[in-house]
Amino acid sequence: MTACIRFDDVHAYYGGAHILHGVSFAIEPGERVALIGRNGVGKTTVVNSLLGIARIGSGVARIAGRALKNPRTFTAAQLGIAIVPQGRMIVPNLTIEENLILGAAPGRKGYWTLETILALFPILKERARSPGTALSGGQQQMLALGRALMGNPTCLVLDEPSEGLAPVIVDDVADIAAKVAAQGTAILLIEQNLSLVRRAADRFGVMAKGRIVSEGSMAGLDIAALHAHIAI
Amino acid sequence: MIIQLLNGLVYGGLLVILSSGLVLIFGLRQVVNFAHGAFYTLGAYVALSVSAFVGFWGALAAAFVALSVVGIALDRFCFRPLQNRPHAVVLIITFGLFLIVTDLVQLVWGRESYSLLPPPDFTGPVDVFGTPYPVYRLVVLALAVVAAVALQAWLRLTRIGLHARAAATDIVATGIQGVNTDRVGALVVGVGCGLAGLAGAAAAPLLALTPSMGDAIIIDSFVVMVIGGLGSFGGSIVAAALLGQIQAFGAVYMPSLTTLLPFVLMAAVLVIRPTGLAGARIS
Amino acid sequence: MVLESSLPLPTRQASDSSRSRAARWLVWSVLAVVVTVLAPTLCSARVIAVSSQALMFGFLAMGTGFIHKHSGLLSFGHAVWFGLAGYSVGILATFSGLPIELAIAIGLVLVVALAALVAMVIMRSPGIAFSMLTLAINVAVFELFNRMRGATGGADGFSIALPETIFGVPTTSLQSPQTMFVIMGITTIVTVGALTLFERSHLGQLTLAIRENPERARFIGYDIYWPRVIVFVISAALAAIGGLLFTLYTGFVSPEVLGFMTSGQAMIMAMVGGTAAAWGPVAGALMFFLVRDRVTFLGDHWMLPLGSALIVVMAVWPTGLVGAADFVSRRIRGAARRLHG
Repeated sequence: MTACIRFDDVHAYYGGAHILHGVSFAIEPGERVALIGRNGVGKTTVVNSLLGIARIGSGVARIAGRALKNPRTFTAAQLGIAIVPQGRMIVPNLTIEENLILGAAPGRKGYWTLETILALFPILKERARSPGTALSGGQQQMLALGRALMGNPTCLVLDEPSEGLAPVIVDDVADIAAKVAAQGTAILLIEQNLSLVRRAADRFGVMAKGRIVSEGSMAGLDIAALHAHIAI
Repeated sequence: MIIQLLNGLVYGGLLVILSSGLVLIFGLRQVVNFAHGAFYTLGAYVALSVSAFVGFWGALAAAFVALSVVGIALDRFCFRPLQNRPHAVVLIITFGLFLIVTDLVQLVWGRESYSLLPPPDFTGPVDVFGTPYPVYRLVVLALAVVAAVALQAWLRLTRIGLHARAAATDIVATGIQGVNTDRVGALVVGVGCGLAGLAGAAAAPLLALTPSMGDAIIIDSFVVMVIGGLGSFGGSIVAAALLGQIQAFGAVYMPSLTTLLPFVLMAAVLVIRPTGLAGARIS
Repeated sequence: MVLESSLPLPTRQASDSSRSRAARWLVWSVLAVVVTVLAPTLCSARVIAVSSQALMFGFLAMGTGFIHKHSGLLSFGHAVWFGLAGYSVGILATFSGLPIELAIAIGLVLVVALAALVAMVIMRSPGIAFSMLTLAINVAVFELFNRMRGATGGADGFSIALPETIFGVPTTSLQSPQTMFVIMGITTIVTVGALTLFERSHLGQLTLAIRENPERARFIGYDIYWPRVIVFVISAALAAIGGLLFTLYTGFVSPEVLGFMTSGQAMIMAMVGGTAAAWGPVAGALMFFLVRDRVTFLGDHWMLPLGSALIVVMAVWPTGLVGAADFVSRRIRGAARRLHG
């Protein structure tokens, strides 16, 4: 099977600034993978090189086997990769329902529809007609998750979903990630919150200075040792 | 009195069509299209040239389509590639385009003035509360209402309209959701410029066609856009209605000052509300 | 959403000491003065006549370039200040009976005061609206003078009654291209120097900081409204000086000089010349006038090539002649450094 996302020795840049120094990894269909590391090591740049926001100088990034050449922001989503960006990026002048519809991909049918998503997030159903920004941070995260699922992606990319959320809401995020994975959707989780990583991923890679410096599987892993790896 | 009121509404209607196009383009690309007045002029001339073959209503449609194509090209070859350049650069380029289009109109149609006849069924006067009034002016007013309603329906009720509204607020967030923002951009700028062409064609039977016919009205629609709050349709509709009345009554009661009145109105609004009538979105 | 618009500034090397910089200024100024004084004997009368007009409109371009540099704003209406200076001095000189020197002083003060009032209104609105506002004001003022019958002659303009001498200079020699060229050259050199000094002053640096990031400047505690108003007033004053000199030179004023196309052309001169350095718009103006003088065969169809040239410059080389000069001088210095090892 072709990997949902595959990076081969990717070097990525913002203008002249060299951020990723040869990143390689692959996410197979249905896999749950976490990318961890401190702030500023290039985790979000991995996402941004899928979006064309960071420029890929050398190496190849593939989505569903297709090499990305000068991707536009919408390329990844059209190839089945839904991204929940850092900061959620709720469109403020649209209602909650409109924000959800924005994520729909008319060509791709699957389990997720407006109904199933509103059933999963009752709060969004209650307030479907209010502006997206009328929600709290945690509710906005749910909206961003629901919006990403609307496209029935083959892989869901979550960039720092726990950022700024209360622990109880982080638990909700973990539950939803489990439900998503149960549908056979692959997950790439970019996180610093290790308890979320432990619950939502099977495999991880640790990033430092624009490289993946170690990889391993969650099973039987000593979290304390991992903590030491990424702690400041 | 009623005549001035109607004249004001008609002129306000033209301003609504023109400034809606400006607002559409500004919303998506954050650029004020300085070539918009030249597109209005071009629309009138296109209508003039094709009306002999396709009739007036066909000419109206042709002007919209022709200028939409110009708009799509403008987005594809100017706004999109220069997306990350300072807005001043893009603004100056649209000014350069204004010079080019104005000159092209002179090259193709010459400097003499032309007139376009209104459609045969709408040439005469009609009785409005006991006063005869040219019926074609009412047609222009109706056209403006239809255009504004259709535009809002398109933006509010269709999926592509949803995409356009989303992209106008946050083009990156919209793209990440899989919306082809390049296509949305081309479409929105196309419709925006098409509206300028439509306004020009609709206005053509009201006045003489000259290469500089767009200069005065585009200034007024800039004023409308600023008073309305730059990115707001509602604000610019209110401002257009206001300015239309001011121009119409001013022309009768203060003819020597009409050209200063829009500026006085604008200064007054800006002193009270620096971001315009509906200016919450700016700042 | 970024509302403030600005062109990229070529960053200058900060390595050279202020003394060597002062020396370089001195060399350039002396060179410019020498060229100014010698040009009337070296160049054809036509080139001199065109160039002295270019330098008058160069002040208008300098005003447009100055406000762009120091606030990132594009003015499509600076011909208003150019033209109003001509009208106010012309009206005062012709109808008030004041001595010309006093008429000039009062005229300039009036124009600057009006510019301050206008600036206080339009600097309240967001930057994006600025271009549209200046254009609208320009058209309104043009129409006002165009329609005003009576003494100012409406669309025809009017001839100004000038005395035999102005500031001790015979009016006839003031109106000869050769003399005016030298006067324009010297005033331009002094003005460019003054603007360069302004840029290095505290206020100049503050306005640049506000241009780059108004929010940050405000956060640090600077008022961002008044410095922008001052920038507008200075830029209007520059245009007014140009308008005054032009009016004295021609002895005539008409609405044509305050039309919006004059503003647009000044904007083009400033952009083609580049606004990063004060001399840029002047160079742009000289180029504009000298080229226009050579392409008279275009007749009425000058807008098409001008618009095309403008688009090409902005798309390919948006820093203009200043950017080009910077590029060349950096190349030369780089080559020299390599030669010296």
